[in-house]
Amino acid sequence: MNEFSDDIIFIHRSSDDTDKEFHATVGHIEDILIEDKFLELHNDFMEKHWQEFEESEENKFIYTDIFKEYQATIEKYIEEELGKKVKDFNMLAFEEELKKRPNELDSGIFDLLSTFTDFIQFKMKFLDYKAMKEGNTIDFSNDFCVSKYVLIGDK
Amino acid sequence: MKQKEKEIRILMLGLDNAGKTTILKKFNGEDINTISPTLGFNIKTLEHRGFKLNMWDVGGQKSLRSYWRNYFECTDGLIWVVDSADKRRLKDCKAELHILLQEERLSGATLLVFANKRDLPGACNIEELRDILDLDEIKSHHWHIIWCSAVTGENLLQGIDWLISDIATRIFTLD
Ligand SMILES: Nc1nc2c(ncn2[C@@H]2O[C@H](COP(=O)(O)OP(=O)(O)OP(=O)(O)O)[C@@H](O)[C@H]2O)c(=O)[nH]1
Ligand SMILES: [Mg+2]
Repeated sequence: MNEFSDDIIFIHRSSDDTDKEFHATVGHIEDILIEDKFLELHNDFMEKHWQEFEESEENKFIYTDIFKEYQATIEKYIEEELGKKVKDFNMLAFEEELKKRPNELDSGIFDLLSTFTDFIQFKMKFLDYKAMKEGNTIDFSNDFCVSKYVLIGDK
Repeated sequence: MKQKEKEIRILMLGLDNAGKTTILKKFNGEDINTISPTLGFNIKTLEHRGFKLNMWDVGGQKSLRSYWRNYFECTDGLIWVVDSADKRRLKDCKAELHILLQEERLSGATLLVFANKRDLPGACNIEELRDILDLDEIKSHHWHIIWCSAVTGENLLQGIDWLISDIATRIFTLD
């Protein structure tokens, strides 16, 4: 067994075009996420809004505005960058494809992508960030971290 | 291959104090004794009959109703909660409901009216409410009214089950 054993259990061999396209797109996303420009944009966004968030179960209306802004900036940025790299890229179609393969991705990427469509994931991301900012945690694993996605066929 | 999970988005609205949050919590098996008026919104995701229900409950105070529209998008089912013992405000309740039903973004939603607080003495019955709320005028949506009590939990499941089966036959028939 090696460090990638978790991946190996779930990954199917890429046999058809959809698979190949999907994996190529994921590779591009990984590249985008580690670029300084993205990290800065992302960091600015989190810094601007985290203080609005509270640990309570009920949600404030302003969360919805922030969620929309998040989609309009962070998600849009990734979508545009992908558009430059992938011909006829369609974010919605990709997210649909992603939902069918929850176990195929590095969980960092999957978690990030799910924050674009799932409000609860989005809120949790901010609460985690808040906890980190307030020093309530020494666990930085929720910080942006992308490890390389590995495909059996590639090795 | 695992079948894609069937997701249903349900929006729960109604005047303040109707019992929306209590219904949501009761349905989810949570304590209902410490609920205060909702100033924002609540979301619960429940698994029920093989469906994943995303239930949205938005505060109903007059000053908050202008925010409702931010939650219309992609709604499969609308639950309109009525305090059937609050006869004084039923006119207001009817007006708000009929305004909602004109919303373009809710045009594809199934409507369930919960006549809540049936356990209170003096609560209107279904026939009275159907009349006062002008439900028979509704031609634009599939609708159904059922009495319930969020406190005792009576009929909550029956209502939700009707809603789900109506939605399911509309949107999942191709599967
Ligand atoms: N007797 C009785 N009381 C109920 C019932 N459902 C809710 N209540 C009470 O009605 C009050 C209002 O309930 P909520 O659930 O907060 O009402 P809401 O519709 O969420 O109100 P807003 O958040 O202001 O929009 C609470 O005190 C509940 O305990 C019921 O079926 N029977
Ligand atoms: Mg409430």
